[in-house]
Amino acid sequence: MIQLQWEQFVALFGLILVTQFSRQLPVWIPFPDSLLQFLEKSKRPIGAGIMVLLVLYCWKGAGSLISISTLPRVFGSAITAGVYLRKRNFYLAIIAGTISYAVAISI
Amino acid sequence: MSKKLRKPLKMQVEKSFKKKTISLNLSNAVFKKALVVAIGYFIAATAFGIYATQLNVHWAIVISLSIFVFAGASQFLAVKLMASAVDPVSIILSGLFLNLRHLIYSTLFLKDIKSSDGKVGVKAALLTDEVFGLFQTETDRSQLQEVEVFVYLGWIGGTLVGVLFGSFLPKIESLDFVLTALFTVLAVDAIEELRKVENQYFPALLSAGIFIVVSSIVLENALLYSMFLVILCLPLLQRIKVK
Repeated sequence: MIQLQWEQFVALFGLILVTQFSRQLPVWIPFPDSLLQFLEKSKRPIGAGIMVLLVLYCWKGAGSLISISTLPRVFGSAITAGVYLRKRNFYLAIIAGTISYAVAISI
Repeated sequence: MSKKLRKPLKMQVEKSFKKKTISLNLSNAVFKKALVVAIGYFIAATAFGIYATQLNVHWAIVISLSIFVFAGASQFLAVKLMASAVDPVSIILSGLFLNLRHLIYSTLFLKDIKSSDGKVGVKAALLTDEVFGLFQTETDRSQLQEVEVFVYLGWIGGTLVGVLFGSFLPKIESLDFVLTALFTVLAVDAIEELRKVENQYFPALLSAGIFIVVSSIVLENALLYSMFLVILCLPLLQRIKVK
């Protein structure tokens, strides 16, 4: 039987707050133009930067980033990216990458 | 085109909300697009439900995430971090950084969210990447709320199915990779857009460098520290570059 932990409740509640905050804030509190311009300019570099961080974080797992255990994940990501760039199909890329990863870890 | 297809397709899914009703009344063209998104959401949410259940995250947390957060990437990340017993502050901040882009979506759709069609709070709360993408090129966004509720139901349904079957299925090791694959696709998209609009790879390379250095120095919360550094450094470097 899985136990509910208070840390998970705190994380859940906080996550609801920050997600809805990011969606609702501009509707209820109008942003000044300067802030909007800053957000518009920064969204692409910060977005790309955060995504790269998340991919690297997933590759790292519980161990070190530069180790043999990250190789199947890097291989899976390469297949995912390759399929996505070629076919432009989000779901196909994820399925192909996951199957490649499963094959790589079995080897 | 057959007569059936030309007729506006009416779907009545009524949901009680503060003694009023939200009805789905979608035109044919919008319905077709929304259906594709809803099916995709259903599949992704099923994978999320199975993934979270197999990580031993309580079903109540998993379903609550889908109902109240309704943001795929942050939900996947949240259950992974919860299962790794990462502190709640890191999970919340990761979610905040990951969802900051919604500020832009809500801002860009402000007029449509505040329009008289539907409820302002609901339209803002259910605005996701795919719905934003679906309506970005549309001039008529009067059906925003209907589409949002429709795809939202797909997401909730998928999560319920995933949670239900996740506990019966044997543990699938490779399912853990779905999150990495999801972030890989999002990263490819983000980098491509950056290259097209600003013709540069620098932010992606800098972020990778920051993470490699930070994760080799600190063992815990490397992601959190790296995110802070990226958020601080990138706008600063962009400004220096512009000057």
